[in-house]
Amino acid sequence: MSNYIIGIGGTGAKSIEAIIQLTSIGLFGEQSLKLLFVDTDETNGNVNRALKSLDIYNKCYKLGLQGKHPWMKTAIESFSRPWSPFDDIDNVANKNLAVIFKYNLIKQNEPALGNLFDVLYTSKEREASLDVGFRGRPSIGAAVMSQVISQVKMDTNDNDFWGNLMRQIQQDAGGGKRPKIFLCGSIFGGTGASGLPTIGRLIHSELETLGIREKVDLGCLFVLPYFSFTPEENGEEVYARSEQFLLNTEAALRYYGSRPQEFDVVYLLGNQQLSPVKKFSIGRNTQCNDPHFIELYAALAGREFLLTPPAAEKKVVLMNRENQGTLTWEDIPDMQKVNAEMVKATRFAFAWLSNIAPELKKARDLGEKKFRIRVGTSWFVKFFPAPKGISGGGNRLGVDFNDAEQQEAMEKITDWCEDYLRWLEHIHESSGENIQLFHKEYIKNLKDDNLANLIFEQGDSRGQDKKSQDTIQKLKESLKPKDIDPPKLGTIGLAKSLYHVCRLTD
Amino acid sequence: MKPREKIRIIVLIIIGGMAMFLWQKLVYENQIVPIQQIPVDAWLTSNYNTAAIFMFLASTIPTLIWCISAARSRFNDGAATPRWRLLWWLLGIIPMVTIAIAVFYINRSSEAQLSLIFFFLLDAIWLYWLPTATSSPEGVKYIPPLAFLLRYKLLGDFID
Repeated sequence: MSNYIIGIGGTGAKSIEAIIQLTSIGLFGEQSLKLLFVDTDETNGNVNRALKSLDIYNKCYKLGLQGKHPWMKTAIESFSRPWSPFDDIDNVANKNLAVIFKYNLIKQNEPALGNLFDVLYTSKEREASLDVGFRGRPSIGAAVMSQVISQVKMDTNDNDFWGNLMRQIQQDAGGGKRPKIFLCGSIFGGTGASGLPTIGRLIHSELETLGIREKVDLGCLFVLPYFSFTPEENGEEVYARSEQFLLNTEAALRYYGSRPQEFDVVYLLGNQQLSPVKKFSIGRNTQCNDPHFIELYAALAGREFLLTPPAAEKKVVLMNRENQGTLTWEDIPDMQKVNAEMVKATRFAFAWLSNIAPELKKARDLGEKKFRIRVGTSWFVKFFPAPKGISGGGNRLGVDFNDAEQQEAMEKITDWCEDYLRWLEHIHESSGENIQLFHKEYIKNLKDDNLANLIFEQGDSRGQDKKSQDTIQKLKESLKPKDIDPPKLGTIGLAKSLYHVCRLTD
Repeated sequence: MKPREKIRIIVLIIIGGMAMFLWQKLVYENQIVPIQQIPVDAWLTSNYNTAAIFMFLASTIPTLIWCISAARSRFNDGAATPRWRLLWWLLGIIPMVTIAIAVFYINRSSEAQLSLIFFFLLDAIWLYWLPTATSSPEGVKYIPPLAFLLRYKLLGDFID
C-alpha cells in the first residue's frame, strides 16, 4: 500500500520537495509514497528541482542504506511526469483563455455571453499564453480548471494519469488497507488555488463513485501567502501580483468555508511576513524560488496527516510559533522525533561533505596503499580492508575501493548530502526570519571544527564537556562495522556507520 | 588511546627494561661476551648500568612523547602526515645518538663496544619502534615504518 501526495502548482512542488527531504531522513515512516505533480507549466523550475531531488534520493535509496535508523527507508515513486490540465484539452495549440473557451465562436453565436466574458477577462488576460501557468491569477486558473475537469475522466479502466491513480487507490482500498491522499498547494496563486479544490473534489467524487470513499483518507494543505516579489519591467502585463495575494486568499477562504468539505482534514499554513523572492519569474524553468521554512511546515503537515490515524470526529487544531520572526526547535511539531532525525541527517551530511568525501577523493588520487598509511585514516581500513597476510593474496571480504560500484555509491551519497544541505541552508535563509534550528553559517561553510556547534542550543541538550569532544576525528574513530547491519563494509557500510555515530548521545 | 594500546606499551617497556637490566647484564657477567681488560663487576656497575639507564630513558621517553602528543592532537584529515612522519624520525634520532654517547663516552671498554652497539640497537628497536609501530594512538597508528604490515597484516587489530 502507498500514500499518495499530490503537489499542485509551484508551492505544491516546493512542498513535495520538502516532503522528499524529510522522507529521506526517515520522518515519513516506511509506507511507500507516490508523488504526483500537477502544473500547467511543465518546465516549471520548482517542479524540476523537486524531481531532481527525488531522482537523487531514489539513487541513494537503491544503494541499500537501510539499517537501524529510519534514514533512506521509504520508497518514493513519482508518476511519469507532471500532469498538466492542458493534457486533457484536445487540439489546443495556442494555450490561452480565448482559444480554450472558443471566445470568437461565443462572441459570434452568443454575443451576450461573449460580452460577459469581456467583463470578466481583459483582452490581455484572454490572449495571454498559459504555457507558463495561470500567471498567479486564480480567476484564470479557476476558469480553465473547471473547463478541464468537465473533460477529465478518472475511469479506472483508462491507462491515463488519473485512471492509473484511481486504479491503484482502488486496489489499495480493496486489499483492506486504508490509503491516504494528501493534496498540497497555495491558495493565493494560479495553479494551486484553482487546482487544489477542483482536483480534491474530482477525487472525492470518483472515490464515491467507486464506493470506497469511506476507506480512503483525503487531506489537503492550503498554503497561505508567504512570499512577495517585485516584477521586472518585461512587457508582460498578465502576471502574478503579490499585493493581491491577501485579497485572493481572503476571497478563496470565504468561498471554501461556505462549501461542503470534501476533505477529511484541512491544514492551513501561513506566515505574517511575506518573504521577498530573489528573482521574479513569470514561469518556466526560471521560476525556481528558494525553499522557505514554511515548506518545512508543509512537509510536517503532510507527515502528521499520513502518520496519524484518522480522528473519530473532525477537529480544529491550531499551532503557532512562540515569537514572530524567530523559529526555534520548540516551534517544531513532534519536536523530539523531528529533532533527532534532522540532527542525525544534518550531522551526517556535514561530516560526509566536509571530511569523508574529500578524504575518499584523496584516497582515489593517492591510491589506496599510500592513503592508508597517512594520519587519521584508520577508519578507511575498517571499511576498505587491505588483503590480509604479509604477502597479500586478495581482498579478504571482496570489497574493492576502486570498484566502479563503490565509487558510484560515493557519488550518490555525496549528491544526496549536497541536495539535503542545499535545501536546509535555504530553509534557514528565509528572508526576514531568524531560523534557529541549525547554524546556517556552518552549513554554508563546511569546516570540520564546526561540527560540535552545528545545532542551536534548544535542539542540543549535550553539556559543554560532551560538545568539546564532538569532533570529526572522534566520529571517525568511533566508526565500527560491527555496530551496523550488513552490508558492513565498503561505501555502504561506511555511510551507515557514519550515520549511526552521528546521533547525539548524552 | 585504547587500553590495549597502553597495556601493550607498558608490557613492551617492562620486557625491554628486563632485557637491559637483567638478561643483557647476564651475558656480560657470564663472560658470554668476554671482557677481560677491566674487571667485569666494576664495569657493569659504573659503565653498563649508567649507559643502560641512558639508553632506556632515551628510548622510552620518545615513545611516550610520541604517544602522548598523538593522543592529544586532532587528525581531521591526512594533511599533517609529513609533519608526523618527520616527528617520528626526529624522536627516533634520540636513541640513536644516545647509543653513540653510551658506547663511546660512558663505556670505557673497547671490548664491549660492538656488543653494546648490537644490544642497544635491539633495545632501541624494542623500546621505540616496536611500541610505536604496534600501539600508537588511532590517528597515527600506521605512521611508524612497517606499522601497517605489523599492526594490520600481522596483528589484525583493525576490527574494533
